[in-house]
Amino acid sequence: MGLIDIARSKSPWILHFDAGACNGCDIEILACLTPVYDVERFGIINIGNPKHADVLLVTGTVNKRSARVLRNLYDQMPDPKAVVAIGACALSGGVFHECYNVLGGVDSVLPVDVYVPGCAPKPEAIIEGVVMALGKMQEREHARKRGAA
Amino acid sequence: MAQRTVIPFGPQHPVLPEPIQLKLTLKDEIVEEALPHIGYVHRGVEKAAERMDYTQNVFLVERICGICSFIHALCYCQGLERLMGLEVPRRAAYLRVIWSELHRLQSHHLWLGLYADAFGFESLFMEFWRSREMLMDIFEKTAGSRVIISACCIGGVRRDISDQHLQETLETLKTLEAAFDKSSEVMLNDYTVKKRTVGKGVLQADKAIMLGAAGPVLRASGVEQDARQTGFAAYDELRVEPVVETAGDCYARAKVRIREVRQSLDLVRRAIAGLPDTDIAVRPKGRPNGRTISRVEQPRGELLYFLAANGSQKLERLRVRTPTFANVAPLVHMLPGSELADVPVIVLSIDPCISCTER
Amino acid sequence: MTEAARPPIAPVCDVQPTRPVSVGDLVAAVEAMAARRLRFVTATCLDMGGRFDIYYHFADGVKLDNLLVTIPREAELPSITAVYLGAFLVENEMKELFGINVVDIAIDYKGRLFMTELDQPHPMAKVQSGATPAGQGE
Ligand code: SF4
Repeated sequence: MGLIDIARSKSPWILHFDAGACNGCDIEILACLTPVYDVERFGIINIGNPKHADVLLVTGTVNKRSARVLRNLYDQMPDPKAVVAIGACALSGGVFHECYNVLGGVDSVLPVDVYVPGCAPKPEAIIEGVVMALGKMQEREHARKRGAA
Repeated sequence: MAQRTVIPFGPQHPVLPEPIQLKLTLKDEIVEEALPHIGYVHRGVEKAAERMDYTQNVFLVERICGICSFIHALCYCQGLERLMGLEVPRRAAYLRVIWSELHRLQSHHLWLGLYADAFGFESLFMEFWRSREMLMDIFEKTAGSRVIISACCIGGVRRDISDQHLQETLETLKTLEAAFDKSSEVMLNDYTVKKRTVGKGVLQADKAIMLGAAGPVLRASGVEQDARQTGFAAYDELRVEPVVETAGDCYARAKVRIREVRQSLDLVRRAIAGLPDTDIAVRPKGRPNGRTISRVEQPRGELLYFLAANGSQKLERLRVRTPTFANVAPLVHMLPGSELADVPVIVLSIDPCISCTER
Repeated sequence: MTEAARPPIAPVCDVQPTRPVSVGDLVAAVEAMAARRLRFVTATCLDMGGRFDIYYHFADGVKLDNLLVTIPREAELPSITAVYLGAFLVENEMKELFGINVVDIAIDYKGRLFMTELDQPHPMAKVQSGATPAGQGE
């Protein structure tokens, strides 16, 4: 494993986007960063710039307007990257699946690697989701390297 | 030479937790005009509420906002109870006050943290959020969930709080208050914090009324209005004096919220002390019919539900007016004349909750 | 008792006090509210099929004071933003979600407050105008 791979798996930077959530999930993501859960001790940092991010956390249902922004953010993230959908809304639309301005879950716009269920999921579950996404990202990267070699 | 620039601020922005976009027209560093663009989190809850039946709606309205979900459910249930002629048992009314005030405490802690983060005071952010976790633990203990607690139902509350949990809550609040003493002291008296907040984003009382501000934004401008004065739930017995400041700037808005935290602590204690020993819910009879308005005070201000029913299983109309919806116009008024660097602080000072606003 | 067996109860109407005004008198009535220094809370629109019932809510201290305007579908509704600027969001919302023709809004989003051009217009209206927007043939 090269230095960059090690750095990525030991210190993933995350980008959070609210595509139409009720704020419950967003607040739980923020709670992960604060002293009780403190994911920063694992090197996980929440940043605002998609160009620096490895993992995209998406909460909430997707509508047409937010889908555009979401796509934009995703495209700006450098490879390898992973997407984690958080909460019932991001998975399928949740209670809002029937609303007129809801396209559905995040996977109607982006390929999703990890689904974290719950309404709202507990911070522990969110952290585990990010860890799983890192594993997947690494596997994919290895497969790509093997394929290239 | 003065240069005009237009800067899109948001919807995804490092200091902005909420998906709102402001188109800022700047002259050099000074904001000349701010135009809000929303619609990133619109779902269509009001329409969905007409499709589901009225008991299911309780779960829907709770998910309008994840920060004050209990109070949304309370407002909705209260309106329906009026339409169905239900009298809520006193213990349920008191429990509703306890959970509402705990939500207010939680929300104000959250806001104080985010606000500190907006002017780059990250350790203060962490302090407030550490305290907030104590409140989340109380929710988990008393209701079984951290965020959406689903404790309110039509006719009362879904579950009781045991004496032991009440005692533990009081203990936790003692620890919380001690921590809050320290961190709020910094928020109010720190030199740098004051530099960033005093005199920024001023809203006069007259403007606040004409623009229809709500909640702490309104009260920080010296207007004495708080929906808890109407005496819903058990607020008729646990009287509430509105917390009022007069300066109308960001500092005053923070101060109102800090004083409200103390008020809420006091309210929870009084409610626990006076908790009556009755049932916690009555069984709903009949179907709702008629039109009514239900108003409660959320952490962010007055929440208004308009319910129209026609005696069938489904509501005819459910209108939700959330406080941030009312505070957007005052925000648009506050921004012109301020410096670009102050924009995040001013935007946060209204405590925006966009998912409430757009529903 | 099962849900279906429950009898409907007598209608309760406690949106009080409510004063009905005509469309023509709306702005004048709102100006009178402003002269009393009432705070504009919001407006509520009900689609009654052939007509719209629109309530305007004002806060008089802790109490509410309401105006009720009834307009036929397709009729024009004057904006009150010249008096209460804070009404611009709710008027834009009515315009977009119900398709009410609100004229002269101070900050007009032209019926695109929440949604994009591609969405079905006026989702809250009970009678759809039938026109499907471009690119969304259903
Ligand atoms: S999953 Fe639940 S908590 Fe999360 S955004 Fe949706 S409604 Fe809110």
